[in-house]
This record gives sequence, C-alpha cells and structure tokens, in this order.
Amino acid sequence: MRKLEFLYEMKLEFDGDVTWHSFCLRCLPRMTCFQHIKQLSVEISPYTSITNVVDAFGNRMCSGYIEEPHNYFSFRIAGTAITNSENIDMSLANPLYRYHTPQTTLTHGYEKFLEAASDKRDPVQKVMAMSDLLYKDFVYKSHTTNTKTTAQQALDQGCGVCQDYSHILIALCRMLKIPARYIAGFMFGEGATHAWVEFFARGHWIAIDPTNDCLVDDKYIKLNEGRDASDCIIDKGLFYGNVRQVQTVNVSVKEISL
Amino acid sequence: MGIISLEKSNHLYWLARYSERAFTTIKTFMDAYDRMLDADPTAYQHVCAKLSIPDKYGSKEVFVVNYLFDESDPHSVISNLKCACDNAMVMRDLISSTSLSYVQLSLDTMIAAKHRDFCLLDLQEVLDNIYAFWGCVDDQVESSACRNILKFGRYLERLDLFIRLEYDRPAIIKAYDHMKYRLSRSNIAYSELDFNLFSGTLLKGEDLNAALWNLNNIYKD
Amino acid sequence: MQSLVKYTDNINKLLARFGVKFGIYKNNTFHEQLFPFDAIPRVITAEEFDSLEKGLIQRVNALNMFLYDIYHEKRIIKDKVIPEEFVFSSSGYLPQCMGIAPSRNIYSHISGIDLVQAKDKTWYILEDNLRIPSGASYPLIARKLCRIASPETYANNAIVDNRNYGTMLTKVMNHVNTGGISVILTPGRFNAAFFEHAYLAEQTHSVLAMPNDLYVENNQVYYRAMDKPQRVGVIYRRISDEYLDPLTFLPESVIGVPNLMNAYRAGNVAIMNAPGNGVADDKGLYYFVPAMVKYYLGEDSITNNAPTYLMFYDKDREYALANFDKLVFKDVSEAGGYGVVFGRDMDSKQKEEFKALIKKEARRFIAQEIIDFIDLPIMDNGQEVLRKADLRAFVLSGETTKVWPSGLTRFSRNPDSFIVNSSQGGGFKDTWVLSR
Repeated sequence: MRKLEFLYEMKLEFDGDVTWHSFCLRCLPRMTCFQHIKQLSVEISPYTSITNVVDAFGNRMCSGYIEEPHNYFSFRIAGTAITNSENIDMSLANPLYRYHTPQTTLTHGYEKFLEAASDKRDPVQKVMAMSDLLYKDFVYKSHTTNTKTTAQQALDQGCGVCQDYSHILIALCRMLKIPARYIAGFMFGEGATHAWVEFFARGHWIAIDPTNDCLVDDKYIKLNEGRDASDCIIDKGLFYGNVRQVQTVNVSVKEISL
Repeated sequence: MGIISLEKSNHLYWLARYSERAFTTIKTFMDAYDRMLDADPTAYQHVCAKLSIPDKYGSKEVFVVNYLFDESDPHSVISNLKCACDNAMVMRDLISSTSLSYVQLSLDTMIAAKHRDFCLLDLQEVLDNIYAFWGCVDDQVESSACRNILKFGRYLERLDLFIRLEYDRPAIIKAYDHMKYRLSRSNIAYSELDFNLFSGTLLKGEDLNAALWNLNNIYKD
Repeated sequence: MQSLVKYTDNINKLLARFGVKFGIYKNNTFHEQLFPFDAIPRVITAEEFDSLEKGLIQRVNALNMFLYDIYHEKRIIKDKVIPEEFVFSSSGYLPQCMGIAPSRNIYSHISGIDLVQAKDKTWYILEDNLRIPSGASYPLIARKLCRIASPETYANNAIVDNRNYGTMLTKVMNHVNTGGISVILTPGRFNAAFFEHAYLAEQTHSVLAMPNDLYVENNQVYYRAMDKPQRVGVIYRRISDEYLDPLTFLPESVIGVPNLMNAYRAGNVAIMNAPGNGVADDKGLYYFVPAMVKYYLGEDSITNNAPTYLMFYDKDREYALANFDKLVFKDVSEAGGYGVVFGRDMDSKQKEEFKALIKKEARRFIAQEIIDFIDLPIMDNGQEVLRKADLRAFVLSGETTKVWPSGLTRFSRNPDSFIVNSSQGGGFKDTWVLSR
C-alpha cells in the first residue's frame, strides 16, 4: 500500500484565436479496488463550466465548451491516490474485450508469440510468456509510432512505445480467447502518461505492464480503460480557427508518507 | 417555427437580394432592349456602364444572349436566379415549399427559355414568378422576423440598383424608407455606422455612388 | 388510374416546381436530378395491408426490444438465441452506446422495411433499415400533386389518405422530446436526400439545422438562434452514426456536433433514430429476426424472411455451396444494392474464387433463394412494360407503433436489373392502400 501524489498538466498554445471550442477530457483517475482517490482538483482555463460525465466503459470525463475567442487552453489535475495491489478485481469481463478492434488485429508475425505460450497450461503463464518474448523482441523507441498506429504496424517495424507494446499483447490475448483491455494511466517515476494491459484469468483481472515486463503493482495509477488506445484518449477537443498549436504536458507522481 | 440562426438569416438576406437583382435587371434589360429595337443600338452599353459590368459583349446580339443566359457570367440574370434558388433551397422550412416553388419556377423558366428562340414573354413569366414569390412570402411565411429580413434585403438591393441606374430621387427615397423600416423591425445585427453614413449622404443630397460601399456594409455577414 | 397516366407530364411538372430531387455524385461533382416518377401506382388491398401492418408492427417492436437488450443486459446472447459474434463483430454495434437508455427506450423511431411480393402474392422482407431510412417524402408529395393533377382518380377509388406522414412523424418527435425545440439535422445542401430533409422539416414544423447550428454546453444541446440560443429536445438526424459526434466517433467529422453523445447519454436530448441501430439491420442479423420475435414477444413471426442461409453455420454453408446457381449472395457489410451477386451469373473461375472467399470469411456472407417476384407495370416511352420493384414500408414508433398506409415503391428502369435503388438510376411510384 502506498500513498501517491499525482499531477497532470496539459497546455495548448495557439498562434491565433480559436472559438467554438468543445472539449472532452478523460483525465480523472477511476475509483477501483486498487486505488482510492482523494483531494482531487481539476482546473481548466480559460474558465468555463464543466460537466462530469461517464462513458460507456465507466471512464470519468470532464466536458465543456468555450465559445469566446481564446489563444490557449490548459487543464491541471491533482490529487492523491492510496494504491493497494493486493485487492482483487472480480468484475465481469465486458464481452467486447474478447473482440479485436482495427488497432488490435494481427494478421501475421504473431506465430512465435503463440508458440511461446503453447506449452503453458495456465492463462496467466501464457500471457506472461508472451509478454516476456515481446519485451525481448520489441524495441522501445519514442517517436516511431503515433496514436493511430495499429498493433500490426508496430509489430512489423519492431519498435514503438508503451501503447504499441500494449496493443500487441492485447491482440495476442484475444487470439487466445483471453479477454484483455487497454489501460491508460500514470506510473511512479515517469514524466509522461503510461499504458498497460489488464487481462481476465482465474476469475479476475490481472494487470501486466509489457513495456517493463512485470505485473502492475501499487506504483501505478489507472485513468481509463477501453478496447484499445482510441477508447482512452485523455484529451479530445475541437475548435474553429486556422491556427498552429503547441502542446506541453507535465506529469508527476510522487510518493508521500501514508 | 420561425427560429432563425445566423446562417439562415444570411440565406434569407441573399435570397432576397438575388431575387430582387434578377427582377430589377430583367426590367432594365427589357427597357434597353426596347430602345435597341429602333432608337439606340448601343443602349446596352449604358446599362453595363451603370452597373459596373465590364462590356465584354461587343455587340447587341451577344449582349442579349449572354447577359440573360450565360451561366458562367456572375452578372447574368440566370446566375442571379441560380443564386436566389440556392439560398431558397435551404430555407424550405422557413419560407414554405410554396414560396420556394416560385423561385424554382423562375429559374426553370429561364433555363427553358435558354433553349428556345429568345422571347420577351419568357422574361415576363420570370417576372410573374418573382412577383408570386413575394406575394407568397406575405401569405405563407408565418415568422415576421423572417419576412422582415427578406424585405430588408429586397429593398436594400433595390436601393443599390436604383442608385446605380440613376433612378429619380423620389424612387430612391421610397426604397430607402422601405429598407429602413424593415431593418428597424428585423432584429438583425447591423452596422449602425454604415447605416448612419449612408443615411447622412442621402439626406444631404450628396453623391450616393460614393455611399454604396456603406450601403452594402449595413448587413454584417 | 388511366387518367393519372394521362396526366404524367403535368405531375412531373409539378414535381419539378417543388424541387423534388435527389442528388448524386458523378466524377466527384454534385448533380441534382429529378427522381423519375411513374404514375401507375402500386395497389395494396385493404386485406393485404391489414396482415402486412400486423406483421410489420410485430417485427419493429421486436427489433426495438432487441436493440434495448443488446445495449443493456444482452439476454438474447446469454440465452444463446443469437451467437455473440453476430453482435459484437458487427460494424453497426457501437460500444459507445452501451448502457444508454434513449428517451422512452425507443431506438428505431422510423423503420424502413423493404419488401417484395412473390408471384404467389406472399410478401417477403428483404431488409430492415433502422438507421436513417429515407424516401417517405417522395410518395408523400407525389400524392399531393397527383390529387391536383387528376382529382377524379381519388374520387373514384377508395384510397387511404397518406398525407398524414408529417403529423405521424411530429407525434413521434413530440413523444420522445426531452424539453426543447425539434430539429431535423441535415449534413447539408449537397446531401443526396436534402430535399427530403427540408421537406420533412416543413411538414413537421421543425427547424432544419445544419451541423454548425448546434452545439453542446453544460451537457445540453442548443440551437444557435439569432436572438438567443434555443434548447433542443429532439434531433431527427440525417447524419450517420460515425459522423454524429467527432469527440466520440470519427474525429475528422466536420458535420457532427461535439459532445452530443454526452448530452444524449445524460438523457438531455433524444436522437432519432438512436445511434447504434446498425447492429440490428445488419444483413447477418436479419436471419435472426423471426427468432427475436419469438424470444421477446413469445409469438410466431407474421412477416416472412426470404429463405436465408447463414454462411457462418456449417449446414447452411454446405447447402449454399451445393446449390450455388440458384442463390443470391449478399455481403452483410454493404448497402444500397452493392455487394449483391447471383451465383448463376458467375463464370467458373469467379465461382471458385467466391466459394473460397465464403469459406474464408463465412461471417461476411448470407445466401438467399431467388424469389420470383411480381413485376410492376411502368410507362416507358408511352408503352406499358414490366419492371422489378420493391416496397419500402415506413413504420413509426412513438407512443404506439404504426405503419404509414402507403410506402415508397421503387422500380428498376433497366429491364435486366434487380436493383431498384435511386442511387442506381431507379424511379418511384405512389403506393395506394385501398380502404375497402
């Protein structure tokens, strides 16, 4: 059990004015049996009224609308999370987590992973064997993929980031009929958002981080879940204005005493 | 229903302007045509000059065909009717199918006339349909806001053309009074500065051609 | 009827003046053309309509119950009536709609059910259209104009008046309205069915809204009216699901309303038809509609499906491969007459390739017996000739479910074609339901 203090800041700067700006932010940590969220604060600027909504996957969102011209947009989420990785999430698996999405469909190059899992009988062992091989085989390399990259594209090029590790592992799990979901969140010691995988086996959800080839412990804070990364996009917005934008993101997760 | 968005008020304004433009230019054309029959074969050149249309026609014969029917020429009568129709098409819920049908009919008549031997009677039919459209607006359009925007656009266009075509002062004053009355009732956002500058020029009896720019800026797109 | 045919030219003139058109894209440019109207009506007897009406109401009620179930408890899957693959791998199933209860729990407010009549007079359902079925406006306005062109026809035949479509639709919109104005949302002037959008707005006294006219603030939908924003209570949208809300579906959509799905999920606005209906009018799901009727209503299906084989089931596939030449094959993901092939029209090489494809992607195809349907007379250059035709019946679900006593009869102008879609050059007829 740990007490983690988290902060997420995002700022968009435009080189001109934008108007009619609608946004929808999936930026609030979920309350789960692994994490208890306290002292959550949300600040959005320019000031506007915010509506709290929940999407089809249970993710918490803040939506809003700024009609007046403005040349920046920022939000800041802060709070503390009491994490405990010893609890068990026995919530039933949404059947959709058994079906591929365009981002988690593999048509070739996956055989060796399934082979690595073939001599294991227990699904947890199977997933861990595949994650092991992926960790050895796949190279972590920033800026080689983007949010639309599919598992197949990433696998073909052999490198990518946490999103791509997760997509590939999810694809493999689903091929073995193991329900798997994509998780976006924070991790202690990382200056950016992170992504990992939860799969359903032995009657409960097990979280695994294929990028670091380890099971998820109490150093992780979960934001969103979904079928793939596209269900978990943290900030979405749409505005009118022919401008260029610069985005800066700052994430920090610190441990404080319980 | 009568709830009008900004975009719709735009369409109403331009529907009115284009149909009035088609109407007044057809009448102007018919006058010029009449003069060209036996009095002044260059009468069309005066029309072009007054309306600041480049005289690319070269002859009376070319003018007669192209000024009426050339769809690639934005000044032609048929182009104006097409623009009116395009704006009307998206206003069916506000102005009613019946009003819209007269705009459509005036364009259809023009298109049919293009493929026949030219006949002034076809133009008369177009005028009839535009008259019917305005009658129908009074009769069918429930929303007074909608009628006021339409009529504001109509009289503004008429005023603009009357000035260019050098109509006499009483006619201009009459069009101005109509325009002003509809503007005051239409509840649209407009440029008071331009309206006042134009009104000042008119009341002082100064050259109105110089104030056309203000006139066309009264309505804010 | 003779007098109507005599006045065909007059009717077409009237249709033209009212701008009864549909748009098509040819070589990337937009053209509008008149929808060819044939004056000889399709006639449905009172007795026939009576049975059709009962069947269609039953069918649409079951489909609405299915849609509610599939986005909530999914009982029909748990009870193994429908294999879950047919739901979850359908492109029409929208996970973003899970758990949303639409206003009054109605999903398909306007259902366009396509039927054909076989030579033995049996009506068969060809497909259910539960997303944005179009076409009601054409017979609606045609009837109005025909009554002007040939009044005596309507004095001498006992024809049920169909000019109440606007009133029926208004009632449905009011029934689901959550408190605000009613709008019809069109993608814009250059949509194939723009005439219909504008005409139905006029007929239902709703506001015709362009995408930019609507926005969401504080989880409420507003219409940008000139003086002050107006709250919107119901949107009859003519924009397909994937473009509806760029913050939920396709981000590149420029014809959507950002955050609309959030307002909808909160119950602050009704959307007609509900997003996510595509899962129920999938050609694969069609196979299961009689089973749905049984499951939800405990009744036998009154409407008949065309005999259909699901390539997903081994037994059906074996039958289809063995009887290839007498079947028509349909790709479940295609619409508008595309993705339809007749076994008998393929050469041997094509057959082999197609059979291999069926085995490989079984979930994608259905096969149907070719129904020998009744051809309808149309006038072609002054001569009466027979052409293929279908009927789209419109079923409206509000406080109760009602069938519009008319429908859109489409015909193929090409003597060899089975395809009656307007996008492929077909024409339309009025559909008379006799009152005795």
